[in-house]
Amino acid sequence: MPRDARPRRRVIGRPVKPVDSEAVTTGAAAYAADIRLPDELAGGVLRSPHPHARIMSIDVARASRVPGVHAVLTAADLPDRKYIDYRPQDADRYPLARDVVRHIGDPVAIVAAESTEAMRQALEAIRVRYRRLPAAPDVAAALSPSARPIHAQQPDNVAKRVHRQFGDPAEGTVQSTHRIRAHYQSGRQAHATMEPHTVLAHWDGSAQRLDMWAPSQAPRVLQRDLAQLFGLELGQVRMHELTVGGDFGGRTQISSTEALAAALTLATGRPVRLAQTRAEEFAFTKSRLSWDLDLELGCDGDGRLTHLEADFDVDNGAYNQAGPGEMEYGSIALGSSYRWRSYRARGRCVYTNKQPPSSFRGAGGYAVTWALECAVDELAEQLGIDPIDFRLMNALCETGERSITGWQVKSSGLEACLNEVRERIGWDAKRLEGGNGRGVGVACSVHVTALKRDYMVRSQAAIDIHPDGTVTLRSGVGDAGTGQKTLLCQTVAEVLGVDLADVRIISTDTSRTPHDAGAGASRGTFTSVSTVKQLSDKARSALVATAADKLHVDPSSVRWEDGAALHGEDVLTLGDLAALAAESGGPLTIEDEFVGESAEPNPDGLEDISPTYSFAAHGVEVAVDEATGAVQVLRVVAAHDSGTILNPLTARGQVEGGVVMGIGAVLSEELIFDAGRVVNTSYVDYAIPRSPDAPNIETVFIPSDDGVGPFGAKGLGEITLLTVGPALTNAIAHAIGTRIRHAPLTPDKVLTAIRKRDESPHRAGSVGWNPKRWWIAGMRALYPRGLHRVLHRYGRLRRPAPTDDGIRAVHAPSTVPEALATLARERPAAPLGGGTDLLVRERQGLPIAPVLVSTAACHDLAAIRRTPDGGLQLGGAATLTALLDHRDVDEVLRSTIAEIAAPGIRNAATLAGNLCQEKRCWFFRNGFDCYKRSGVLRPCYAVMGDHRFYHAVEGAHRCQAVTPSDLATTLLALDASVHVQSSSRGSQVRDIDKLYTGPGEVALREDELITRVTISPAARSRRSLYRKLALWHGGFAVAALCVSAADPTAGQARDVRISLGGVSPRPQRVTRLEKMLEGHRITAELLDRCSADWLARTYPLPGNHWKAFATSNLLHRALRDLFGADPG
Amino acid sequence: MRKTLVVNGSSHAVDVRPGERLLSVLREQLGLTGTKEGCSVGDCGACTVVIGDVPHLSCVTLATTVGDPVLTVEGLAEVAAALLEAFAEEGGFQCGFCTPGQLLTAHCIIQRASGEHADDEEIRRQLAGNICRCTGYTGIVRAIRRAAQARQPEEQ
Repeated sequence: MPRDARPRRRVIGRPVKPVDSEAVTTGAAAYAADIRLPDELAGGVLRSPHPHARIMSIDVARASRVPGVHAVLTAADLPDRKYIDYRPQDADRYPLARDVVRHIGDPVAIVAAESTEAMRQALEAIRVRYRRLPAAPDVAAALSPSARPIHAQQPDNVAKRVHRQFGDPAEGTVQSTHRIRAHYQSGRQAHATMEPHTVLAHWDGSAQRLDMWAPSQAPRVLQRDLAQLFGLELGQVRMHELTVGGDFGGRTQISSTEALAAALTLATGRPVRLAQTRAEEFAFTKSRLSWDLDLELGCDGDGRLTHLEADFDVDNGAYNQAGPGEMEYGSIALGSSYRWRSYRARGRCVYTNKQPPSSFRGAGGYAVTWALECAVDELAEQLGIDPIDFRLMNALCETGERSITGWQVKSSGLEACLNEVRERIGWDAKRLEGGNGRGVGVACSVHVTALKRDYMVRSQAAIDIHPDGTVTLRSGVGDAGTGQKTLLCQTVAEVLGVDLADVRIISTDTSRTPHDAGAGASRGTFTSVSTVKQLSDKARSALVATAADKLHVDPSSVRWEDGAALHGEDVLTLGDLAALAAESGGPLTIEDEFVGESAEPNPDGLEDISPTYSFAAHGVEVAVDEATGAVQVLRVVAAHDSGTILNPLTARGQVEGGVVMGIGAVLSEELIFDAGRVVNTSYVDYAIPRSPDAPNIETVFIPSDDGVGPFGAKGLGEITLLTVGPALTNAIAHAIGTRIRHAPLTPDKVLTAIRKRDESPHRAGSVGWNPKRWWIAGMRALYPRGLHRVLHRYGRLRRPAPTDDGIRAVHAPSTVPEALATLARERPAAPLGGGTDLLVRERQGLPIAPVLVSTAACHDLAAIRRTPDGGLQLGGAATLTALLDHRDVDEVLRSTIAEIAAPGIRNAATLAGNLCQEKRCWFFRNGFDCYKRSGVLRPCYAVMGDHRFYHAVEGAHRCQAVTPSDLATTLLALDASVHVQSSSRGSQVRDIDKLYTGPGEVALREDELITRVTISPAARSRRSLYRKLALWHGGFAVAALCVSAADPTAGQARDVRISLGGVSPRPQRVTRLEKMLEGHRITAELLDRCSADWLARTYPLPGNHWKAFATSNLLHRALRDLFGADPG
Repeated sequence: MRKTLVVNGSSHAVDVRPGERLLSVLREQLGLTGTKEGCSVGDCGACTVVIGDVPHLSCVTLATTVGDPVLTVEGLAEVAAALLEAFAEEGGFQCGFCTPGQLLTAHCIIQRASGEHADDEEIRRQLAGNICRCTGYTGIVRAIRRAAQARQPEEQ
């Protein structure tokens, strides 16, 4: 037991708010984008459009002549040096591609110019001739014998292999009486930090110094790489202190923006800003490595685990970043959590022609923990042993015990964590209930607290003690929101006995702080806090010695209390002592270095890799909608042994944030690729949990103190994310009684698993019934037989008119006639509602009219009123919020609107704008040169691409997109009329049915304006229900529907309306079903027939049959709810 | 075109291009860099400001169409100090990049609730447009609940 096991503590262990609270909450905190230097140039990157190609030539002559351009650089202009990235031995990446591009987005050339416009013009003017090479978009393709080597030195495309054997293989397998084999696949999660990569670089020629403002939690790692890339001394690269908008491992090592901005400023001597858009963030930055694992695990007749065999492939992308290192670490971590008697791992880290993924919170432990914790549950189930009991029996959790891989437990609260989960989540009762869509699951994990490598456990810090009694701590530690700076200030305040308010911290600035490697591998708390604690102890001793000196007494007789030295009646405050000790009135400065125990990696992998280990158990309760496959996380209990909790407030935040990030990884988040190109490059298409999707989280800390870490603390930030994912996956398996082994567990996979469990057909409709669809069938059949390839490669682009001018004028008339006159006069012009779609289209490079006529000032157009006959009139310019809040607006409309986006959008978006919004197909929106975006000779990328969620299951022609307006779906079921006006043709009334000509395409002429939408009293008197399936709260509809009928409880269906949205190009009334129901008594059997009839008439793409089933189930349920039909 | 914008209680004469977003005017012309650009297409909520009395996304708002007064995070401390404090005390932020947007949405939630009990579910729905990658939202919800409760006695 350490000496200070139970001291009275001032601030350690207390919920202290972050030290940068005021700066952050007042908007004063400066992120990279908030810093401006005089004479900045705009930097830009030309990226490879091909996944794999040889660069035949690059011509920058024209680009260099664009006025305002200061530099156009290619690989030839940069030193012939590669990034170090993670390990010098793995280095294979140049800042700009030399000869070969290996993934879409590989940087080829860079430009610095006076303005963004000039920079863009110059990028367009660079001519690159490529010769395409066969590309390997995935691991299977890369490993095929005919695959083209991505790097010449690795002809088999295996960047790194690992083969490890722990224990005697015979012993383990022989004792196994039960065994399971399972294949698990994890996806590529994006870090998606809220702050995009923005870098500011300035080469100060007179000082011969490169000044950098680049967000990272480990700026010294970036500094090292920048210095070596450009042949500078370390001290010539100064990383400035910044507020960092998230890291999660994605900026722990250099990306590409930093070096490219540095190259441009070195070439121009002017400050250069290089900023990425959100779409570039998703497409061209790191992400989590995806793993494919084959596991075999066994146990003996008593349920004791015996052997584990693992074969895995890791998709490394086109270059080595964290891939090889994470695979090696993962191969060890996999065998380190349970008491295996033998463990074998064999893995390959495989090059593919994709953006290279890299480290991500949880590092190599994430995928292996997820897969193993799921497989352990499977084995427990086979044995009929409770999953918590099984873990209590087998998990490594005794102090002093050692895993087969050599990890030695210094202290473990795992048993207590599992028991907390059992009790708090009501495990025993809920585990018995299970099935029918409700379930609970558990998982546990162990994680390192730093690695025993010299660079990880060595750190320096300095402290300046000022005569006024305040203290400045200087530490190189990075804090991207994890609270490290606060912990360090707490440590100083604790040891020196001063008020936290009197401690200030300067962090990361490489000119003002001594060396610290920054955050990563859960080392921040261990190494940096240990360093600052040791430093503070040293400072206190020095102050005590000064006091003793001054008072001419023995130092051992001086007490230190509340920031002052006491001896008898004498009191010398910290400030007094600093003034005494320091020379010439300056602060007293003390520096120190902490060096933790370290070792070189053991090639066998057998070693006690970390100073101490953290443990956790999570319990998750879920509800699975068996009709749609949608999963709702109801509750999470997160129990953690991270030793002494230094700051419960920030620690709790780490748990809660890690849990939701882990939920995202398992339920919805994945970068989707199409032939090497990222498809879902926006927050709309990349499904991050929104606040309503996240559960409340119950956090429990099990204190332990093994005396290893500072104050007994262990790491926390990563293990939170490791544990929740498998617990959630196990809960889903419990809820639906079948196992899904491929993350993320999106509704398509869940519903497909449920249907497989029930032995239901997996194909919905087919084309046979409708000869009119046969040519579409023919076209689709030709896509995989070469048509897609031909259109993709050779189809001519009909580029939309250049939008350089962008928006040339915005008119804001205050009356409708004026608006109509402006629309007629200013062609091409378009009405502007809230702008929440139109302005987005402009950003996405889709053509919009250069003259906009805002309807915001036409107050008549915003009116919402009941007509004397009981009908409803909704103004075209009424905002969605106004409709939602208006008491006369029908409930079905309000429930529709409540699920559209979020208040910030709804406060601006108008009814007319909602109806007229453009299709949301992720290929079309995210820059694919598709049929709809770039002309008839282009392919529809959805046919061969990922069309699981947002494409049609019926009625599509060449384009598979759908109309995104949810209001259109509901208004269609309400027989709404759309009033359209133009100055040339006056007023017209159209059925909403006639409004759409195609997906998100409306039959409106340029000078026409939707003035209002009316709903008849008859339609309003019907009972109507709206239902929607979306991937996140407020997301676009995967499927939406509205059902409506007169007096539905009367026994007979009358005046039935059924409309569907999100499933066909235009919102559709399903008149066949309406007729089948009309006049009949509604029975479950009739509803079954209706569903079957609709399903048979769908014509899904190969990957969205599930969506047809989900829609039909949703419809079945909605009709049942509407008519109150007996489900029997 | 020349235009007067009222931001945080002060009038500013600004020159606005027809297609210029309010976000750019705030950050580039007025130097109010507290409002963040996270996506520029209305998806993430980092650029949320209050126009009139409701939250709007300044990245999809044309500056020329703004007539009502604008409140940004820089003006929030004066009118909602308790809310800022609650965010700090309850773990309402970590990296802080989404925080200005969260705070302004939160401010509107509290104003709107005006003494009524704002339940967690409603708070979460109102926050749906403000993505946070760090906190898991739980701390934000706690902070808003606390600030709303602190406000109640004054209202009644």
